[in-house]
Amino acid sequence: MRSVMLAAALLAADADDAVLAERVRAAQIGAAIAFVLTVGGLALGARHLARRAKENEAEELLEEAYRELDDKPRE
Amino acid sequence: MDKPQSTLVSLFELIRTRKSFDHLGRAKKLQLATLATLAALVFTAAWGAAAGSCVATLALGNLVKVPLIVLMSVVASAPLGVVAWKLLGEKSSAADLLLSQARSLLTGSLVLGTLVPIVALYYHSSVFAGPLLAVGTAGVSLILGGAMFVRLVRRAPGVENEVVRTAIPAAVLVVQAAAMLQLIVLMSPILPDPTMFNEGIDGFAREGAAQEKRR
Repeated sequence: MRSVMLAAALLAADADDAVLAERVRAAQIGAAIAFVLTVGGLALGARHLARRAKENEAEELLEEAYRELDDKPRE
Repeated sequence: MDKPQSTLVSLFELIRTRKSFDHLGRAKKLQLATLATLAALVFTAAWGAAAGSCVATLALGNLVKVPLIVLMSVVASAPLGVVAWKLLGEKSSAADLLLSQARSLLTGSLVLGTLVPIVALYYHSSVFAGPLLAVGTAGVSLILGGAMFVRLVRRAPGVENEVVRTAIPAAVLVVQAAAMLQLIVLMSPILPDPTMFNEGIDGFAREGAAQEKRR
């Protein structure tokens, strides 16, 4: 455990700051783009799913109504 | 879309652990999961603004930074959970797992949302209690959200094995925490004062090595 911690610390200390800063910058931009896309996707998805859920609900109600009619004894 | 009132009622029902949504269809479950996630982002944004309210630019930045950290950590961890859930369960539905994750996210972020006034107040009136309270509330919300996630997944239908039902949410939470740690590095500074999380895993490694040397 001790050697792992020391090795990790050495690697972390030896990292080139300029390269790391560049990578962090790229990751920041990537994360921001991914965030915007995900939020947009969630908002659009919510609308689409709401429509689908409503359709499913209507279908279920219709099925239930037909089932009730079928079960009803004919006069 | 549903009426706003019914949506609000659904959101409050989502944070009740005893409430089951098993009877709902796949589309409705995913819709609720989406709404819960979006609502969670609003609460986390409010907390971010309160935690950075001492510095105007920080508060404004946190409106995006904190929701970004939360959402991207969920996005990073969800695929692992979904794949494991589908592989290890015979009749398991990914919608159940995603709804459980969204419900726990909403619960955790609601904790942050309800503590917004106290975090803002302490940040403006105390030098040492403000940062402590901000980190503390974040920790409490993570613990509560995590506990709720494990509890909900353990009760979800589809996967019979008890060990698997605990291991999957635990693995998802570990990946989420790991992603969150590095996302904090990307989005730093979030709080006006430096914290132990600012340097992410590198900071922890350095701190660990320093402690080993001191011994």
